[in-house]
Amino acid sequence: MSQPIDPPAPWWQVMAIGRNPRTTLVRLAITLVLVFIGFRVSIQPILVQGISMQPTYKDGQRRFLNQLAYRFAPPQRGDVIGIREAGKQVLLLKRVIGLPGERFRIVQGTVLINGEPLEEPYLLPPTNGVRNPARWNVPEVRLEEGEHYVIGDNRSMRQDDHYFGIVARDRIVGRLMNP
Amino acid sequence: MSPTLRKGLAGILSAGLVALVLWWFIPSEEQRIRKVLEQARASVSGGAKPADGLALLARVGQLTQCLTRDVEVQVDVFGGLSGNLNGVDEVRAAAAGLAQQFPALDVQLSEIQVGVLEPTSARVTLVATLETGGRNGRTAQEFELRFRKWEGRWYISRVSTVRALRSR
Repeated sequence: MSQPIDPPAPWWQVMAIGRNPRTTLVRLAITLVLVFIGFRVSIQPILVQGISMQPTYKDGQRRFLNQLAYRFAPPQRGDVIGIREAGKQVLLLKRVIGLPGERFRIVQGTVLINGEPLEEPYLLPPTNGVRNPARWNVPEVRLEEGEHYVIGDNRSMRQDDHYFGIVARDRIVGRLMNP
Repeated sequence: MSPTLRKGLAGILSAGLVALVLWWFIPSEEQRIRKVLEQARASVSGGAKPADGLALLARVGQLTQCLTRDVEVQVDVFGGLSGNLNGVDEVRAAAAGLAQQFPALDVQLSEIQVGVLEPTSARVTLVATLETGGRNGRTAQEFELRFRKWEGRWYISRVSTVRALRSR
């Protein structure tokens, strides 16, 4: 005696929820949980505010930070990084200029690393008579282990108006993903 | 089981139970510190409606109960407020001024970490989120606080802002 055979599910149902809806639901739940955890652990969305990273990043732009970028490798010169300023929510966006063990100095707007001028292609060329970088001066500092020197890209600002300096390694949250 | 052994076991169980109750109901030093922080936070935060003079005095009085007489406050926010306050009287005057200027000020504390905890001193870092009620009136700032214990109670002896970037 033959068993009655269930009629096949309509094609649109198979397309939408698969042949076995319960399995599809479990798979979907697992995927969502994994994606959520993955995002929480590795990626942090940020909203750029302020002008210190102009012209590279403008006020109001949305970007993502890779929080795993420095898990196995230290920050490199030129990386744009997120720095914990006030808790996990308020971050600073700056560019790494000086690395641990280096001597850092700015003379008339030119960054000197161990006495050698640093090429900075991310800075805007001088326009309309406005010199970029402006004539900043920072006395020499030797960066200790775990210290990085960070500055924003907008060097046409007055030095006193620009928040920059030495940051401890443990305050660096991650690297900007989409530079 | 012999009666002596039974009595001994009952004694151990009772002592364990008493210890558990004490542990549960007597707050730890960290909990005491957090309680002082909460009292300070509540006294700085305003209500929904403007406070009258008496309520303001009460709030400021509540704040000063959390501070040592020689409390130091060092504020240095890039592009913002900066200055020092020394002694409870200066802090009281500044708190009263702040409350009058921002009657709807709301302060929330988060990421409270009791770092160094010694018998009579402690160091705490936290993030204070201040909402003044106006447009764009929300700001967050990290602080380091030093606590001192005197006659069994914790008091705030130093408050200073923490900046992520520094020159040497």
